[in-house]
Amino acid sequence: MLIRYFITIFVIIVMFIITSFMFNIKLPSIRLRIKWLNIFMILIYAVNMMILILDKQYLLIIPLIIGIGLINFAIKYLSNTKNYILWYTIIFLLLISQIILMRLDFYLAFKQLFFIILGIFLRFILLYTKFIWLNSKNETLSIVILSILICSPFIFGVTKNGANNWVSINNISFQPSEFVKIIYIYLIALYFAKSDLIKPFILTAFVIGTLFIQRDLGSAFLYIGVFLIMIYVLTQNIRWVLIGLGCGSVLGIFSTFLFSHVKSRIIAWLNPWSDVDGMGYQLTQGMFAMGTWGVFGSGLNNGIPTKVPYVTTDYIFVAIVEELGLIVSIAVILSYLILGIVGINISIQQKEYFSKYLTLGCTSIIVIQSFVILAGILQIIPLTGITLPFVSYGGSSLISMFIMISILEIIDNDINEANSIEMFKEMLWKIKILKKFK
Amino acid sequence: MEDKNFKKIQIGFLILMLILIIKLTYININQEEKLSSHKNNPRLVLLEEQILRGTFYDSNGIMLTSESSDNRYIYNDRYSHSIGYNSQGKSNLEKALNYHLIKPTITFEQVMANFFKNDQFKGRDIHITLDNRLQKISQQALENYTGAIVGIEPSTGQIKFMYSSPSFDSNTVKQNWSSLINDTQNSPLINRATQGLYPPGSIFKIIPTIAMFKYYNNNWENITFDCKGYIEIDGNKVHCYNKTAHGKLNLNQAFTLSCNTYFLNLINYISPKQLEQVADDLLFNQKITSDIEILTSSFEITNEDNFSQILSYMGQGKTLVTPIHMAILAGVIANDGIYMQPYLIDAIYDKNGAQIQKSLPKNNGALIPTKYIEQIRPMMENVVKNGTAKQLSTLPLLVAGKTGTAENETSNAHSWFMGYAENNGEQLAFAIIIEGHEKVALKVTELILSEFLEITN
Repeated sequence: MLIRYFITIFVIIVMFIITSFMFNIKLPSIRLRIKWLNIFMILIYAVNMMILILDKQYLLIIPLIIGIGLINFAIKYLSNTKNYILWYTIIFLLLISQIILMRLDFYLAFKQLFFIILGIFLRFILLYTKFIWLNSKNETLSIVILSILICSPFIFGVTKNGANNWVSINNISFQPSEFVKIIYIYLIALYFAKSDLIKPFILTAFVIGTLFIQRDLGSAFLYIGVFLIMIYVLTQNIRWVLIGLGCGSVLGIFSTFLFSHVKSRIIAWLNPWSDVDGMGYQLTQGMFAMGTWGVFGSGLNNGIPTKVPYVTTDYIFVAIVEELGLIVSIAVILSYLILGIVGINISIQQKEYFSKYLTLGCTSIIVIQSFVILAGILQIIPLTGITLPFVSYGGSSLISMFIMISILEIIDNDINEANSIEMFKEMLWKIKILKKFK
Repeated sequence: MEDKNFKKIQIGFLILMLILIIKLTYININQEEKLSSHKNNPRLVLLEEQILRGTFYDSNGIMLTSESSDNRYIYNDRYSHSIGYNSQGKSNLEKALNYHLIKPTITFEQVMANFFKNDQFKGRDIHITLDNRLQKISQQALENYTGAIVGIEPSTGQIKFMYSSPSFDSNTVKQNWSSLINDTQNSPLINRATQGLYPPGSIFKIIPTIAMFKYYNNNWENITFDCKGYIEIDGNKVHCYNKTAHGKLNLNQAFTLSCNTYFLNLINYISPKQLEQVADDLLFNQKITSDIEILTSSFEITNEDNFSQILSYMGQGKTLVTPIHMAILAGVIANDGIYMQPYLIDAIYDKNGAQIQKSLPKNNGALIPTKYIEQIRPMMENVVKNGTAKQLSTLPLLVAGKTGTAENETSNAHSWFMGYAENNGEQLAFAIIIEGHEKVALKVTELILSEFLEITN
């Protein structure tokens, strides 16, 4: 019980340091701040893991030691990159994710760790192969891949949890819709840069329509939100956004009456308390988890987040509120805000329209996706099934988020095509040299 | 494409996240009480196991529950219908105040004690308005009878004693559960004081008396009736008590002697609808607001048959009242016509002594005009001095009230007494009902009033 207070303080300090990077203050020096950031991040991780270990899960000493090493290394390495704010925020989110997943089901935590490493790996690949994918020439290929991915659930599809957007091949299941997001943004950025409006509309309608049929309403919300943001920037006029929202609401009301599964979600959203054991079970269990323990939470391992459905995936946030407390949860929400603001800053600095739209799109996806799931959990909008970026357990989600952040970073680093080929050659040469020395 | 649109988007993101933060804080902090004590919340069980449940105290600070978990109720069956029980589900105040009883008091010392010595955190303490001395006498007085006793302090509305017999040992509820709920003969789990609906019998006569004050403002004193000991209605003979013929009586005399035929005759002066109106003014047919659950007394005669209607003027027919309602009315009369809302919970404190909640007496306005109070009080005092409650006149304090013998569906009438007493500036209003035994209510009243005398001297 005592430890909760310490963890909350550590998290507050970490958030302060990260936010301080966004403003141009001179003292204390950045090196110093990063050093303390390192210390407190490790403390947060170590203290929480110790709670779990002392509760008889001695096996977790291994990830404890590995984790401390990784955090230390990552923070030091990233301090040399330009976008360390982005990455530190993500490390924080990944940290919280690992802590909670270790507590809920350490098997899932290990799998997630594997995907994190895969994501890091991908970042490097994307960095060195930028000249292949980051250009305006892949339109047709993109459309083809997008269509395949988004329609694959119809062919190979597996319906999980009421949504038909999972694909299972050889016992490995993934969500193609997570990768559709990236290709979608790429295409929209392409079209908007040329001020082409017709194709985006068709594309958006196609994607949203398919998602509706697959009953993935959360992603549908997401695309609508992101599309409206892109429209706003393109037309520089809020009028179109309002019209868009209006049409969306009308469509929403129609679909409520037409589709029973939409209707039941709306009813469960408006009054979950009238059917606490049935339709309202998910929402009310979440409310209980979030509302029982107060500001500092129950302490890790003291609550019962396991009583909440989907607590390792879409609903993971309530476990954070329940066990780590209000302040830590607010820090998580602020993390997404930081990602949003930094991402938009990157967008502002771009000179080419294509890059501007691409970064805008990636940032918006992360922020709007977080909003959609969190607002659903908090009963602000109807609950839908999408993941909380970087925190929910889910390989596809994590990988696609890593890809988007990498895109942001790469564009920000302003590597132009020529440079990129050079870097690639240089890297190959280094590898060959290493091989020679063996 | 201008930068300011991007900045607006950043502000948009800020607003979105702020909305989330605000709603989250609302749920976590404002909704905490409602959510943590919700019956569907599986965490309640956890909390209860971790926290030392709070303690109940009487109005003088006497401890009523102990910290031991298997022998919590120090007085066994004395408070089983007020505080309630805690195993086999929860009842009464244990249920209503569960949130407070398991809400831990967290201070630095307690956190240290918890961390190093594994001391449990403690819940909050509840101070109730009952007086253990009066409650004890109530329990003793009703030992061999089935019925209920309720006492209220008229100036504040505080419930001073409330006992229902038969009662049960709150410590052994879980073990005895099946015999308790299957005992439909005695129904020990029911709080007869607040959930028992009985025919009032003659104590009801207060209501038509007040109706006479209202509609015969100037000449109610002159309205007489010649009592022959019985009246015939629709072929049925209705007698006065013991078939006594009282002769010519006015209202005061009829009230003092509880003459049935006089009151039955009042239907020629007060219409059923008028009587119903007065009853509604006196808290019949409506929910009595309190911090405990009280069933509604019913008096609806305008659509009844002739016989039922007339009988209701003497408190029979289909009329039903709760004992606490009668005590409340006695309290209103004692308190110059002002109705103070009855309450059982006085205050809630955390283990640090900080006051979390305090009930203040609530003035619900004048239920009965002062003029009628001045007219009915002498009548009620007369009942004790010269009338049906004469045996109470030997007590050295002011006692006033109305006796009642209520016919019911069994062959044995219930015995009622409702009234108030005053000693040394302190007042007490009460109602007593004994099921199935005539005349016993007065004996019980004597016991209670002797204790009251001792306390207030």
